[in-house]
Amino acid sequence: MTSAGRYLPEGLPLPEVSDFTRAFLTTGTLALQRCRVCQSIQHPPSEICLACGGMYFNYEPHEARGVISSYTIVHHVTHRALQTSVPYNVVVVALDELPGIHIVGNLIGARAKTPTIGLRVFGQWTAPLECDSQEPVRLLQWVAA
Amino acid sequence: MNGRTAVVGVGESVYYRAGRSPYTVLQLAALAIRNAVADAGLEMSDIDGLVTWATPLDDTSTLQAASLASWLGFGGLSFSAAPSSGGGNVGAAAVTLADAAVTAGYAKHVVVYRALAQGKTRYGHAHGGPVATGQAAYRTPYGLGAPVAFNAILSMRYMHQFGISQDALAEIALASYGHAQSNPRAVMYGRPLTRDQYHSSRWIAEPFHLYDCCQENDGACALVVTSAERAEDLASRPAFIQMGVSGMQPKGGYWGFNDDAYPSGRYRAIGAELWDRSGVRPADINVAQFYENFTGTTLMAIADLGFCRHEEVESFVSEGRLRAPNGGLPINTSGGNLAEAYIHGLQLVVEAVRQIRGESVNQVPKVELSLSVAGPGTPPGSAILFSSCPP
Repeated sequence: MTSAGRYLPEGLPLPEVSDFTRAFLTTGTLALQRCRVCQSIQHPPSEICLACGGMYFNYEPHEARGVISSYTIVHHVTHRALQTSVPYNVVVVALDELPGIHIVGNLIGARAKTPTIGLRVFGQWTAPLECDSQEPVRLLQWVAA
Repeated sequence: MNGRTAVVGVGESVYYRAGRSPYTVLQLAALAIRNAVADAGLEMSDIDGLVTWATPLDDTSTLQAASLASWLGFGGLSFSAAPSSGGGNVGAAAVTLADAAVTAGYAKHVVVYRALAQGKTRYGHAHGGPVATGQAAYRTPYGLGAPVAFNAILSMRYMHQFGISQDALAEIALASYGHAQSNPRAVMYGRPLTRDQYHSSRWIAEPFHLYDCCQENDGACALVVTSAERAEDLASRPAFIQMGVSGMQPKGGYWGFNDDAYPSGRYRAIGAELWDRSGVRPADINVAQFYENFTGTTLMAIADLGFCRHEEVESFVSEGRLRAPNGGLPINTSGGNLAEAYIHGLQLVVEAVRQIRGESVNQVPKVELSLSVAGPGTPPGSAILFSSCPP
């Protein structure tokens, strides 16, 4: 899988890696949390299964393809690291393979300035992003299909 | 509930723009509480209960109940509590907590207050260090850390799904700004808003313009709750607490645009419980205060509570229905979070009480039932219904 630079600047926080989030954040695959007890898939990953209360999980890769369910273009600077980045987009992607699962990310490439609801997209991971206090993470970004 | 308790006093500090208060957050609280207790015709020594709340971003000195009770000269502190997960979602729940304490006999006169001094930490920004934890881990790294941004995404989907135009959002803003022009307490008093100004104002996060977003303010407001029997002996006209509700739908407390309520204000359960337990219908409500963190979430709450269907919300809010005095469902009659002040929505409960007492700056005629709905979007939500009639 190809990788790309981060859409938003260094200095914007990176997500914390924990036992529950490591697969999604570090493997460069869309590894989602599946409950070992009831087999439900949930995202974002958490300590407890929403469907059955289970506390043991597997993390299985899925295809990062879907459509934009919603988006915003943010014009106002709400974090010091974003001072020169506005306006920028944020999208919510509904996965083809898993109806009901929505994933937040940024749209990169030719449509970055013109996201639309219903636009077909595929996922692309950033190169590993270093952070002093924890292992590097890879962020999932989206490109128009 | 069921009119066995009442709000008998309301008061506030001066409301300031964020960072402009000459007073500390506890001084603001004290000023508001003094005004509310005096309004009730009570002495400080009568007060024996205190309810407030704070967010993790607040100066937590606002939670110093024992200090406040000492400085103000309360008779005691038989009941002291805060609702859980404190955001704008608990403004009505806080008053319900006082209602519960008085009904159960744990205290006689309970003060509910909220004090904010946002000079140090502004709610409208993303927070935290270089690593985003918990639910923020799934939004802050993508530039979705501030409430305006994630509420914008929710509203964008809502508008798309139910065919809602920008003009529907404008209706919420125009109602609040219009009402604030009769309210000298409002921070936006003397600053009317036109539809053209609304549409030409800068984007904050699409679909939200500047005027779709609540203010950030310094200030405090307070209410005094006591039993209906004791209320009879007081000079002020009681606003009887008909029903307080707080809640969320099953599995609706987990963030991520992934629960069954997406896209909505997550207030369906609040509405169902409110109408079921009170025996009142939406059409019976004379006037309502709807928390507007952002105009889009207010639209969702109106439909979630059953005032209309989601598909009908644009026509429902059009043609002046939301305007006092005779619109049909006047909302945010003191100017709301957008144009009076953002005291985390507790000032909306104060206004709901004034409507019952006939003392609003935009009084609706013959108010029997006055509703205040706390901040949608964040579960558990809450709402409180006041009645002018004794039980």
